[in-house]
Amino acid sequence: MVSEVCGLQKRKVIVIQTDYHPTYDEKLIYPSIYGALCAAAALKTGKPARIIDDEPSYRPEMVITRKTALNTDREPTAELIDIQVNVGAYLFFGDEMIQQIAAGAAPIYDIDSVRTTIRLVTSPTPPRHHFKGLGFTHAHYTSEAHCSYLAQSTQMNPLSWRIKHLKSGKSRPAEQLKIRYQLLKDLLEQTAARADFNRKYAVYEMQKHKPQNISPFYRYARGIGIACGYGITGFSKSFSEEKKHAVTVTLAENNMVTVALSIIEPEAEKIWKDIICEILSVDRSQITIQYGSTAEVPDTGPDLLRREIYHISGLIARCCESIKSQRFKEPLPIKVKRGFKQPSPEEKRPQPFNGLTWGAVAIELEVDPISLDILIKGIWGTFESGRIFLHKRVVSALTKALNEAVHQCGGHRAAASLPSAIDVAVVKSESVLPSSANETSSGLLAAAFASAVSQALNTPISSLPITAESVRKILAREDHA
Amino acid sequence: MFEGVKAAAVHNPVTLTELMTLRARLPHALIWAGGTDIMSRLRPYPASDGIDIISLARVPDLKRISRSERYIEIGALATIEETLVVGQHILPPVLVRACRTSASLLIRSQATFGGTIGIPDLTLSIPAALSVLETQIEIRSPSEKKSGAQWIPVQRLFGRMGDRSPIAPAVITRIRILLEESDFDFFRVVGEPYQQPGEAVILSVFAKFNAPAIAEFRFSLTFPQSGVFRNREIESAISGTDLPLSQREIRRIIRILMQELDGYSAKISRLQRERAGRVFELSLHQMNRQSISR
Amino acid sequence: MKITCRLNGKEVLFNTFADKPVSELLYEHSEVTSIIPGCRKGTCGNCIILLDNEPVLSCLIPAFRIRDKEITTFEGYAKTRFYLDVTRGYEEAGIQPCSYCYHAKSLLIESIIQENISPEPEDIINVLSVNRCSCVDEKDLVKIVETAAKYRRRRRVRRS
Repeated sequence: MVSEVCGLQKRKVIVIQTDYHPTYDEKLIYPSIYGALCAAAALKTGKPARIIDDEPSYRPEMVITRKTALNTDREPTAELIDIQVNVGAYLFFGDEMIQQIAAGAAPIYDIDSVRTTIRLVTSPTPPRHHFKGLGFTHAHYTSEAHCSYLAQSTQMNPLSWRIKHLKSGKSRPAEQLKIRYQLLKDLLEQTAARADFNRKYAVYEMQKHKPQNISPFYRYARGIGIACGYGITGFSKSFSEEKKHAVTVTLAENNMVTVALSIIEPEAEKIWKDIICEILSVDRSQITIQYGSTAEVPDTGPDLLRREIYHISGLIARCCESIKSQRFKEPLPIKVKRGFKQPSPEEKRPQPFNGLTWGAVAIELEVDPISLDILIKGIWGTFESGRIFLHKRVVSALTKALNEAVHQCGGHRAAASLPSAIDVAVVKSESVLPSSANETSSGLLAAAFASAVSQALNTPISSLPITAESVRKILAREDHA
Repeated sequence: MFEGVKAAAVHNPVTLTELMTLRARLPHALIWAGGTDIMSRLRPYPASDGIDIISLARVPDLKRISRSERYIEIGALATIEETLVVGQHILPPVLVRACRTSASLLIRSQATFGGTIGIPDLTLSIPAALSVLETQIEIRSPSEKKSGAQWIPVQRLFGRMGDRSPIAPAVITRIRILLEESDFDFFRVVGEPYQQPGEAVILSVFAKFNAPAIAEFRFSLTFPQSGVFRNREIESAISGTDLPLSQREIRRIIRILMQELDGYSAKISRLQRERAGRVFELSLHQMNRQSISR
Repeated sequence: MKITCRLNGKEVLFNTFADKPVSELLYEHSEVTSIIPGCRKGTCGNCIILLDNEPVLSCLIPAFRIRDKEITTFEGYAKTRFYLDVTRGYEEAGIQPCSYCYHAKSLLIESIIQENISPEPEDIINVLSVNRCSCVDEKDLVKIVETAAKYRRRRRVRRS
């Protein structure tokens, strides 16, 4: 971008990468823009230039409309989903965005027919940040929030409605994800039991019709919500960027193993070493991980393009399996290189994504009658996220993701001086590879949050975040959030 | 990178006289107390070409905290945490709560008492609490011929319509707080005054009872960007009323408050107005509860 | 403006602007890698240093305030034996902060256990709340600090 803006030859532009820790994915877009602006300023003035910026960054604005037709038994039969995404000035990864949004928006309950329309629209506004995902989480949030509406419209408890309608999945089109319905039901039931969901839901349902709930004297505007679903790790199998990356594992004399990677992520090293130790029965000290330099490999940013957990672990495992089969037959060193595998055309129902994670989240909250803030009383989450290497680390990462998600939805801690009340459980998985559940947790939390706020305020909630100002507007009946 | 830019000059007076002489010579200089507010406003440095900074850090007189039978005097440079440690058992409870909720421990250890009062465009917890206590501040003006020191009530800093009265080039040197016994105190920060000043409200209440009536009732509603709202009519309407206040009485008071707020400052947001009404109602309910439990 | 101070035990001279934040000053210093100016306005809490042994947010301290003071950054602290107590806290809790806030949280934990070897959970959260990174849950933070404090108590008993 610097060479384009300043009309310089690319070889004349030297990029020195400094330590930069953006919270999410600002690294993808903004360094280039600021770099170009700074370079232009420096060229113009003939002096060094520096930019200090404090502009907030925003996600692509996504408006999702869902209409569901119910039959005479109040069962969903058909659904129309219309999605419009404002991506700002530039469109990044458009095809992948459509794939992810479509996967997220697909209803998980049994339904005869679904039509989904997705439009990505550019606009003369600053480029948007993707904040850890390309739209899957948001789309999945609406799918789950819609579930709660359907439950409400049939006057059923959202937990019972979900359990009733998570059936066989026979009606799902072939290109959609295969849903593990029984697992989802189990996760839902475990979460509901820990949150004491049914009892609390019944109590708050009785209380919600009393108008004085939100007064400073009575202080009783509470709600509880639940959601379940799945998440994806990384990109769809058709994403072109994935094909560029490869892993090489070499087994040399004295059981010395060298892994050459084209990404830099020392935090995942422990997991990779565990996989190698297990398959090749070598000692951890015999493994060396060589990272590619950013000069040779594009640094892909901290979150959005991160692929080490599922994909790289998978590639390392495949390399090791291949070495294991050749070991003691072929002379050392044995060198194996593996890249991303395309799904074979014979595969009848290929999963469009690798590394699915499953989860259920419940949240209990209260509307503070003075500040009109949403105060969190408790969050319960149960997840299945592939193979677990470091249980505490996974629980901690999920707790952090839930914390961040609740903050982004507009929730506040009940008391700043008290530890947060987040209860996370991770169930055992048969998968041999780990996968990331962070994205799953945020989408599910948002859906459960909207459902709980809707119960607390006795009003349907259709957009997030819920701020004190939006609560005020709801109470004043100025408009609906 | 900054060739030709004149760097800021830092002056370090060690006595009050030296400080005032400097101030007279440099009326536009930046007065630097704890510096938490100045530093937390994103800005390029050097702040501006050739700025003068008067650092108060080496003036011991400004750090002194003293106490008499009737009042406590806090030097403008005493940090919030120091004041809290020294005075937590003698300071009025409203002020103790204001100090505790003003910021995190690290910021409280750096931010000064005078500094929080002197921020020109933002009114935070401590001035909010001081406005209901009988507080006087000593300001020293370099233009006055004698000692230049003058005691003024803290309310003088806030105009009737929410505007702030500028004190510069005068400097706040001491804060004198009357040590009064109270029967009911209430202090609550609603929202985040520093991060979202357009949404936050701070309520401070100080009341004395003469059973079964309220002998004296003082309150202030602080809107960080729109100053401090005090209303003598509402205060006198509540003073003299028997406790506990009835629901009808509370509703009537809230109605008057809302009407008065409508005529106060156009800068108050609807959310602030709503929060002000709600937190004030809560304080009246708590006063009722306290009067019953006595 | 020329400013001398002690940085991690060594005498250093800075030639800088008086109102330059210390976080920027240290960021540009070759021997300090733990300070990364984040928000630059005292909200993220990632630029903690010990100034005369007291924790401060270095982005809120102007350069002229460090004249003749003792600054300890994470690099200096990590060389002391006290750091071992904090690392044991991380090890026993089985969790440690992310690389972004590790240095700041470690210095804050040190300041807590230096001040009080039996800190209350409320005090722990109060002090650590200045660092906004939520990579470690509060319950785990309390556990880490309590474990570190336990080792500090033992160290003091041995010494006395």
